Amino acid sequence: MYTDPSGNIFGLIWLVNKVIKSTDHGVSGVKGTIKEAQGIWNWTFNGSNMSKMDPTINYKQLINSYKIDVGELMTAPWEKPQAMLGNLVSHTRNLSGNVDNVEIRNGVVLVNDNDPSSRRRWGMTLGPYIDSENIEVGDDMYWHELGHTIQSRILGPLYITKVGIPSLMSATFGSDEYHSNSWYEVWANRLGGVPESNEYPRDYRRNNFWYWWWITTLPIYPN
Amino acid sequence: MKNIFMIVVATFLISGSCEKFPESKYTIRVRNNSTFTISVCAGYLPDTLLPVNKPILKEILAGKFVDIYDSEVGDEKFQKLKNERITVFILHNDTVKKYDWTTIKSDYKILKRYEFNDKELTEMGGSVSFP
Repeated sequence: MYTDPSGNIFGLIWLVNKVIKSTDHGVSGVKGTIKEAQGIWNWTFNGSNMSKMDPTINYKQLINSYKIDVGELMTAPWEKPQAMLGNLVSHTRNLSGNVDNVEIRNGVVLVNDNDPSSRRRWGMTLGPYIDSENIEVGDDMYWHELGHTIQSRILGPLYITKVGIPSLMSATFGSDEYHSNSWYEVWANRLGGVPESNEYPRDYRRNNFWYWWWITTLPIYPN
Repeated sequence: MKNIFMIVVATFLISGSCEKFPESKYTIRVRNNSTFTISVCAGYLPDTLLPVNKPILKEILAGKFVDIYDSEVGDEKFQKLKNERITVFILHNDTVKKYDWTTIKSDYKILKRYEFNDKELTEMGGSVSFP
């Protein structure tokens, strides 16, 4: 999959879309868009030449927000409920200044905040959105969360009740060991191809008929 | 419907600041910026010597990184790191394969040793980079 590492192509699509939409607001709308477009152009091609950019626009936030919306294009129709929520959470974090980088890789959107003073790395997946702190592409947690995005595509709206809510419950009320060994977490490790370790087990807690029976039949089963 | 939606959104946003949720791990990241494979081990040690017993050694390919988890150094959420200094040893992967641990320890066959606390790690950018 093409990831547009420089952001140029996605930036161009954004500009075209923006220009078309800005005509709704007459001449002032178009002028505003031209101003933003000049800034985006300078950000992309003359990164160091800040004098040409409008200081009233936060370009990092603007480009991040565009990249977040690219996630909508990667969403399967049946996973829209969680994808919409993921989009909303990602935008809210971005607008509140809690996002440093947004990366589009492997068909997912990593919306990440970097905090060198924290040893904690966390991730939360809703549709194709991985909202996170201190995660980077290629680390164990990234692959684990990628596994959750695949679950979302397989399960569709059932992701919320089969994975989202049980995961929230076991992470909040259970021990780390209990949560890590829950079936949806182990499945995510397997789907994401996380290297096996104590932190990311690949063996299910139980492997008998009744365990899978309850997983399949009960709407919410945090085990 | 609108209210339910807002409650769900608020729950996710609030829970993001909760310590337990979402999926979280505590790690120290070690990056290998060299052109060869290295092995790394870490622990709270009383001196600059290598541990007596062979520790968990993690392999890092050139240009890659690994995470040392809090459970691997027996320090939940790296609470001890705030007051104590942790030691990270970098060894050449060939050395680990060629010699047994007793020889590595007695001849001190390491490439580099890092020692830092939480504050110093933050100043290093939150991760250890070799070389």
